[in-house]
Amino acid sequence: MNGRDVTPSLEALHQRLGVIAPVLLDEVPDASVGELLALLADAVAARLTPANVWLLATAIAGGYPTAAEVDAVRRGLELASPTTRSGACLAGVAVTAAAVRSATVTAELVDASALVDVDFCARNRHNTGIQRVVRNTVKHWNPDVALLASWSDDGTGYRRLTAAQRRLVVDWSSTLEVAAEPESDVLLIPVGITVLLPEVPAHRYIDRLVAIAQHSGNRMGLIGYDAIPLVSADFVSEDESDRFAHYLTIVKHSSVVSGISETTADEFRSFNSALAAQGLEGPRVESLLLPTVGPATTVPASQPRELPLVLMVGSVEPRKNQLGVLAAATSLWQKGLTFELFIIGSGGAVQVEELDTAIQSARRQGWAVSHGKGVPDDVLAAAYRDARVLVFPSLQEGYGLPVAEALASGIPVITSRYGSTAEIATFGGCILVDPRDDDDIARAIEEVLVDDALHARLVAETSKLSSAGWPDYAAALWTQLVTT
Amino acid sequence: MTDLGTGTRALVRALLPGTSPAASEKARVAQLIAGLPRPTAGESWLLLSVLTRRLPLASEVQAFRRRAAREGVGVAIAASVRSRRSPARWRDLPVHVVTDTVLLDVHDSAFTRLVTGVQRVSRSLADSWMPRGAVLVGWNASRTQLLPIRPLAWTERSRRSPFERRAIVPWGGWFTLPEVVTDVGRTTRIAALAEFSGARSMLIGDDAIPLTTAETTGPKMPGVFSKYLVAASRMNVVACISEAAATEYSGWKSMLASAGLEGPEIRTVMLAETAPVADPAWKSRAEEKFLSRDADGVLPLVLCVGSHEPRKNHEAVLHAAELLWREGHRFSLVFIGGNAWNSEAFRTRLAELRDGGRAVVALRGIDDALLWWAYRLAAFTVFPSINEGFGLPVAESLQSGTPAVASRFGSLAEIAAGGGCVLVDPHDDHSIAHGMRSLLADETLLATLAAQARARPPREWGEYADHVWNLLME
Amino acid sequence: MTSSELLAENARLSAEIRELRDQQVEDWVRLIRFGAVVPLAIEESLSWKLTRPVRLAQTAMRVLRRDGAHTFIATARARLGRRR
Repeated sequence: MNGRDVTPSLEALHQRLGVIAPVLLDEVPDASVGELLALLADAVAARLTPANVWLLATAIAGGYPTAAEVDAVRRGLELASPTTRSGACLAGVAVTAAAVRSATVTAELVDASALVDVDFCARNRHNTGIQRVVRNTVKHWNPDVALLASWSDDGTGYRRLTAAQRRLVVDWSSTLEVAAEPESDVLLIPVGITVLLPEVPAHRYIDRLVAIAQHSGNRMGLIGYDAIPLVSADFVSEDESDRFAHYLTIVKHSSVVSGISETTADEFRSFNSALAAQGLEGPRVESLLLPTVGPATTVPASQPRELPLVLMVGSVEPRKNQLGVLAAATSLWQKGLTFELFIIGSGGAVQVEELDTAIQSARRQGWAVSHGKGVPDDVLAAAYRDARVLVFPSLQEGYGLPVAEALASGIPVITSRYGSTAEIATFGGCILVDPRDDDDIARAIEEVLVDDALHARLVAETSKLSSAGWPDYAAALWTQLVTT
Repeated sequence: MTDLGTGTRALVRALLPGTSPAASEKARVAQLIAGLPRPTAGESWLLLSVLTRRLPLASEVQAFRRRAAREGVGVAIAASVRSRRSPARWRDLPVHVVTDTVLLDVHDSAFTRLVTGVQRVSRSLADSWMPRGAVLVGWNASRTQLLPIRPLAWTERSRRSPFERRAIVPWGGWFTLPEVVTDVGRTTRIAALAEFSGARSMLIGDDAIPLTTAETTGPKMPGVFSKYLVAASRMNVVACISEAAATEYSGWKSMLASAGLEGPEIRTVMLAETAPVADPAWKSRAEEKFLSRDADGVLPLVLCVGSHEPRKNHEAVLHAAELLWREGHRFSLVFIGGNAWNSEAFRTRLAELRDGGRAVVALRGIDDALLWWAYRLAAFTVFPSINEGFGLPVAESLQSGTPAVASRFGSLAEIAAGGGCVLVDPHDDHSIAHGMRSLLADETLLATLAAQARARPPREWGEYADHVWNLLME
Repeated sequence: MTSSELLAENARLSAEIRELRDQQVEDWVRLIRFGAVVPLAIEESLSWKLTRPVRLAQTAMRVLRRDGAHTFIATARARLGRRR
């Protein structure tokens, strides 16, 4: 013999088969691993549904199969004779089985209403955009009905969060320190429940997620953020558009999407209409506008600034349109208006350099403009407190967090007259502009600087903002994605 | 076609109509500065195209306009002239501004001798439009200039450089793109041209499969295709090759609202449906190559034409065939495919079946002459594709008088509506087997569908080209 | 045969089938985890011949990398005994 002991692996496989046996068999006898496999293969061959095939393939492999593997096992089972069925199943999932690194993966059926994929938040300290939504939402869900999970390191299946990962997800703060812990060895197997994707999953998980959405018999629910890599592909890298197209392969087989704005919901509805050409309907689409919540930190009032402050917040990239704002501000400075423009945000090296070069040029003319990258929370909070107006003429957004933050801080906003920012603007406190027209942006800035009555009226409108916060969003989202 | 000449003379003629270009270069620049104090995006695009002798990107047009607003159009113009790439003017091709011209961008087709489905569209448009005065164009190596293609080079499909020794810049007129462009340098400049040149621009829309069915496309394709759609979003009209393609493009178009864009009009002009008469001289060779026999004689031929890639769903055909062979049905299965991508599963399964003695084979590199006979010799063809923009093999089968088993949604269902088909669910092996079985077991049905197929009127490529021209001229 | 002899024969055959099936699973696990080359003694055993489990001359991962996933699956399938 070659001296390598496979007993632990065999025991783990036996355990996994035992966990799914009650789902596939009316009676579960006391059987060896080979006998149990044969019984399960016979049961699935007799009721050859994709869900049964997926379940058996998952238990054998110790990880979730891809759609191609599900097809291979299904076809193999259909053509096999009773003596060759087990072999057909074993061969069909060999690739995923080989990808499972641990030799002793056991399994548990998920006893919850939803299995919630929070993989990125569980592994990363990054906290903007998507992560803020996820972290502020899942912490309000009852852990008895919402099982939080991350992917195994080898990318083959979900695991319960470690204690450290759980803190990163539900107890995040900018100063949180966690030490990595070894991951769980127990594969979570969802059967007839909802699998929730509140993040945008990494590319490496997509094949297995598509198979879950399409074949496993579980419902799949997603939060839809935007379709920017498809609609505004000129503003993103090819890789990002590529990844988004692969993300859509999950979407088209999902049950429900909740868009973070009606704009996003419409994008997903439009995508659904394209699916008719391939005989698919796509998911039910809902929308749930994110809550308008202020910035995390606030600072007390201090001395008023010398010049009125025009604030811009957002990542530095063409889509956010910093150069448009700068061009608008330039035409106003040339007209003789005095004000300070403070642009807060960081971005890719090329974009930041282009912006900084333009800013240096403006400063050489004596105009008051500066750029803050990696600005600490208290500086950002002070800016929101002191600004005369936030200018946010983004060319496309899924939501537009800075608009909400500014309104919640009691300052008026100049933002784009279409899309999600226009939705937030219906609360009041905003001037809407055509972001592709530098002159339109300039006119709006001039109005709000010069017309004190207008400014006061806009500020008054910001107090009419909805007070619904994250707990309300989390509850409504659960209803849309899980209980409806 | 009206040629306004080159350089600042052409610019004055185009942008200051009614003004005669002054005698000296310096004076003409002064004319332009005086006449265009706040150049529009279109005017800026033309200025840059001619002054820098490169078609600009949208970002360059925007930067020029902002510089003009900030420092005056004279400064912006001087800066553009300084940014010209080649210092020696005599090396450059002259850049002509043309108006009232129909341009047809057939760059990829000009360099290939293949006549696959894609090239057939370009060829038919070019052959039909050239006599109407359309100019065929391609691109220079750096994808910064449009170069007219010499008509003789096009018809002869010569290997030597097909281009004339000048570049052209359209101002107004018409621009048509019948190819799917994967070269991002080219698509970004086409996007700017569509947005700013004032030309009525049209795209031939094959499908949006890299976006709607990304699980079946090669790596990188969705990313590259997304950039192609940026150019599409700036055009006036997309002429889709089927209603299914129009469904995909319409879905994409309504997504553009979230970026405040209207997008192009989506229309449908269905592709041609023809099959040349099979040359009798090839018949016996075709019979030898495609037909198989068993103890009871010649086996009915089931034909599957198409590249071996996941979207064509050939593994499902193999599975359905095996189910039917086990039921005792007599037939041989022949695949005729060109390219293969991600086809290992298909090839290994095919080898297994052949090892087991099944009458199945996959052939490549089959001459067109033999292919037309394959269609005629076949009892029926099978084409259960997951998603198609059109589905030429089904049209070709029907025009050859041979019934087809085809997918029951999308463009294949549209083609099937004209008769001669059995519709199946391509996601269900049993549905495919059921469709094939009905034609293997029921001779009356087979004969009825063959008669329906023969009764289908052909649609010629010339007609297709006419319809597209009329849409362009609307 | 008497009924007790039949029952004993039945039990013996069931035990043999169980052993063959367990061996097949074990060979598969061994292949997946270690890509093992199986020595001659095993190769000539009854269980091996009857169930025709996967026999590969190279490690699983090398086959996977060289020939791709589908060839690997097909080879595995072929040798685990897909009879018509």
